[in-house]
Amino acid sequence: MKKKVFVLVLLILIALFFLLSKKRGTKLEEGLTTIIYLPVKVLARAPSGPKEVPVQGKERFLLEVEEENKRLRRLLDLKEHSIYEGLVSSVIAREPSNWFHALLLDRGEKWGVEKNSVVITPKGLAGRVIKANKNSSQVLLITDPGSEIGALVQRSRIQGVIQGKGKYLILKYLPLGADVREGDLVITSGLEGGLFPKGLAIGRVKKIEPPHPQDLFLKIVVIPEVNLSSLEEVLVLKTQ
Amino acid sequence: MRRIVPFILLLFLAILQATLLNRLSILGIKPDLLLILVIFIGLYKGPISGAWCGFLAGILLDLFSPVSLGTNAFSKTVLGFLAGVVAPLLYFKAPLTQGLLLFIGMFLEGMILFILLSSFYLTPPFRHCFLYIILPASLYTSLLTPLLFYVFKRITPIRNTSNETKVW
Repeated sequence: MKKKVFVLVLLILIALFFLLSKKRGTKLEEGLTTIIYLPVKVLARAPSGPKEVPVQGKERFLLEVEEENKRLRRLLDLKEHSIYEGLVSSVIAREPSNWFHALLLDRGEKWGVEKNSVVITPKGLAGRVIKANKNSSQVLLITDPGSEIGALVQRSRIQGVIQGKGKYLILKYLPLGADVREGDLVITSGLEGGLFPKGLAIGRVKKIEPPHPQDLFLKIVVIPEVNLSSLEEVLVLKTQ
Repeated sequence: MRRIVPFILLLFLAILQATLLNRLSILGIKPDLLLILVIFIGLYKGPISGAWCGFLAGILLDLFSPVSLGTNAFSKTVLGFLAGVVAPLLYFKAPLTQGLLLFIGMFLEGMILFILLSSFYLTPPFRHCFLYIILPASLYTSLLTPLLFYVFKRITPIRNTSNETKVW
C-alpha cells in the first residue's frame, strides 16, 4: 500500500509542479512536442487519395486536389492584397478536449510565427496564436470563452467587445438603444493595443436579445463569418 | 513485445483524439478515448499502472492543448489510481458497469478540470460547463466504453484480473 501511495503522490507532485510553474516552452516540452507532433504532421500532409486507383477514385482525388488548390489560391490572393505580411499555414490538429476552442498549426517560430500573431482566412478573423513552438503553434479561436476582441459595428461604427461563447460570439458593452440591426457586419476595432488590425471581419449580428429592466447594455449574438469547425488552411499575420 | 502495446496505444489514441476524432463529435462534444484506456488499465492492472497510464495520457493531451502542462496529467493520474483502488470491489466485466464507471470517471474528471481551469483561465460559468461539456461528454464516453474495453482487452497484454501485473 505504501508503494501505491508513494507513486500516486510522486506523480501528482510532478503534475502540480508543471501546472503551478505555468512555464511552457521549456526544452523538455519543446523536445516532447517535436516528437509527438511529427506523426500528426505526417498524417496531415499525407496525400488525400491513392496513386493507383480506379477512374472514379481518381476523379474524386482530382476534385479534392482542385478544392485544395482553390482554397490555397484564395489565401495567396489574400496574402498579396493584404497590407500585412502573412504566412500560409495548415491546420494539423485540434484541441483534444471539450474545454477549449483551439487549433494546432504546422508553422512555428522557425517561420516567424510569434505569440499573439493574428490568424485570418479570406472570410475574416479566426483567432490568435497563444503559443509558438519551434515547428508548430497553437491558435485560440475567437469562439473560445477566453477570447475577447475590441469590435465595432461596421454600419453604425458603435464599439463594443466580442467574446467567444462556444459556437457563437457575444457583442458586449453596447448601450441600450444602440444602432444595431440583424445582419450587421461586426469588424475588429483595432483598439486593444494593436493586437488585432482594424477592419477584419469577425461575424454578423444574428440576434439582439430583448434587454431586462436591470440591464445596462444590449446582449447581441454574433455568428462568426469564418466556419471555424472546418478550417484547413489559414494565414498567420506576422506581428507588427 | 506485447508490453509496449499500451504505450503505442496511448500515443495512437492521443493523436486520434487531436485529429480524426473531431469528425465524430456530436454538437461539438468529443468522447475521451484516453480516459477509457486509463480506467481500463487501472481496473485490470491496479492503481500503480492506472496512475502511470493516467499521468502519461494526461501529459500527451496537455501537449496538444493550450492548458499548462500537468492539468490533464493531474486529473487522469488521480482517476487511473482510483480505478485501480475500486477494482477489487466491483464486477467490471459487464458492459453496463463499464459504461457506468466511465460516466462517473468522466464526471469526476470534469469537476477536477473545472476547478483547475477556472483557477487559471477564463471559463464559462459552472452551470454552462456542467450542462454543455461535462454531462454530454460523460454520456458520450460511457456509451463508447464497452466497445473500446473489448478492443483493448483483445490487444493489450492482460491475462488475469488479479491486482498489479506489471505492464509499465
